[in-house]
Amino acid sequence: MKTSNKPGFFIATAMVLLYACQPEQYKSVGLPNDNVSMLAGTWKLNKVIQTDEDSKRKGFPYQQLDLTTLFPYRDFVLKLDANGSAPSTFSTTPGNSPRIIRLASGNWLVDDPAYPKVLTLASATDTARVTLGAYPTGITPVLKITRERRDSASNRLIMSYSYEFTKQ
Amino acid sequence: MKQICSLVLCLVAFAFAGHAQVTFSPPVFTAEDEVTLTVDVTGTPMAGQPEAYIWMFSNVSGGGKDGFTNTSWTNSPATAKMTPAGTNKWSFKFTGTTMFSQTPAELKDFGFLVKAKDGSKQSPDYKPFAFDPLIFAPAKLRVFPAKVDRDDVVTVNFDQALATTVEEQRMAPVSATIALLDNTGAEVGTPLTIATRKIENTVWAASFIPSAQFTPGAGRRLARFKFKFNGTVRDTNGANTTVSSSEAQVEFVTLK
Repeated sequence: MKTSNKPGFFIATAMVLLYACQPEQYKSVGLPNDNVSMLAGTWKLNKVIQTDEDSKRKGFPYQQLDLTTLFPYRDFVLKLDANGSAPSTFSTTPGNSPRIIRLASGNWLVDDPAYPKVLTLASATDTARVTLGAYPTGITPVLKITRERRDSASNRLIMSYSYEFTKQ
Repeated sequence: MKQICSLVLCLVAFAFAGHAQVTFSPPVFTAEDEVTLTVDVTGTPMAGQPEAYIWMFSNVSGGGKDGFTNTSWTNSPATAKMTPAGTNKWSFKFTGTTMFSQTPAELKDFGFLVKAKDGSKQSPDYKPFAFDPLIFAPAKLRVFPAKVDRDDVVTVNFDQALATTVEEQRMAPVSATIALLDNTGAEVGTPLTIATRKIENTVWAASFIPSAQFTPGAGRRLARFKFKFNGTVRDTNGANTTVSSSEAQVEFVTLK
């Protein structure tokens, strides 16, 4: 006499389906990067490149020079504080480095909180603006900023400095 | 020699006598840029004249042409008329390639004088004023970047492959001497001597930051610098003797 396995089959199928309906173990991708929060922190200067933008435009040789080891740039530290996602104060500690940012302390702000491009450092008497080259991320905690030097009469871009900081 | 150093010397507007009365806006310009020159004719026969006309010529050392406004010495055209810019001061706007009908590669420098329409009075020649090159000219003494301000990192370079004297060709460069001049022409502080580094087979370099290492007197500003490279050669007795390269002078530009 043949016995039926149908109940067992249904139970097994139900178990498989129930198990398959469990939440995936992948973590949430989360919210978009909070770039201002990523900018906050203590940053130590690691690399300095000087570019002759005028020579670059003309296609001349001698367009870039790595200045990193020519002066003690690696002494320079930039500290950016934030209140949550809002920029607040900054301070610079040059050590023996050339003062790539002349301001000692003040407030910093960005042109666009979601996707900042220009970082403004302001003290009571002076302001410095630098362009962000790349946002730091958790994987690559590197802050890249560029300082442009333009002819004061024609506003033509003559030279630029690229600074690469690593997070402390 | 002047051709070899033209890249560096093009930045020097004050290396020749008489340039103090002439300014340019922008201060550095190529043959393709529109530039406005302003000249002060105080102390010349053109002082006190009610109107002024320009007479221009290119490539002072040879291969030059008259400006298209040089039609007749005794009857300058309206296109040569200068604009008043103050007491005894006159301005004129032009573009080198248009003015001289020459290519940027052909145009090295230019000169001019200021005259009465009928040619009865004239200023001395003001010359030469170099065009910023559009074609790279290798130079024995070179500055990186080619245009620098007082706060920038300045790297001076010596390319021995382009040396023009036996001592420059023989010497082993060990240092560079930098002297800063202020806007009155006075030397600022004492010249700086810095060690060189070899960056290519025949090229030595030295770097400095003008404003960090030189402080001008009150009310003055750093205007230009001179540099040369120093090294040693062996004399006939086998002893080391110190020699120096020729000197180049570079005008600071104003950057923001």
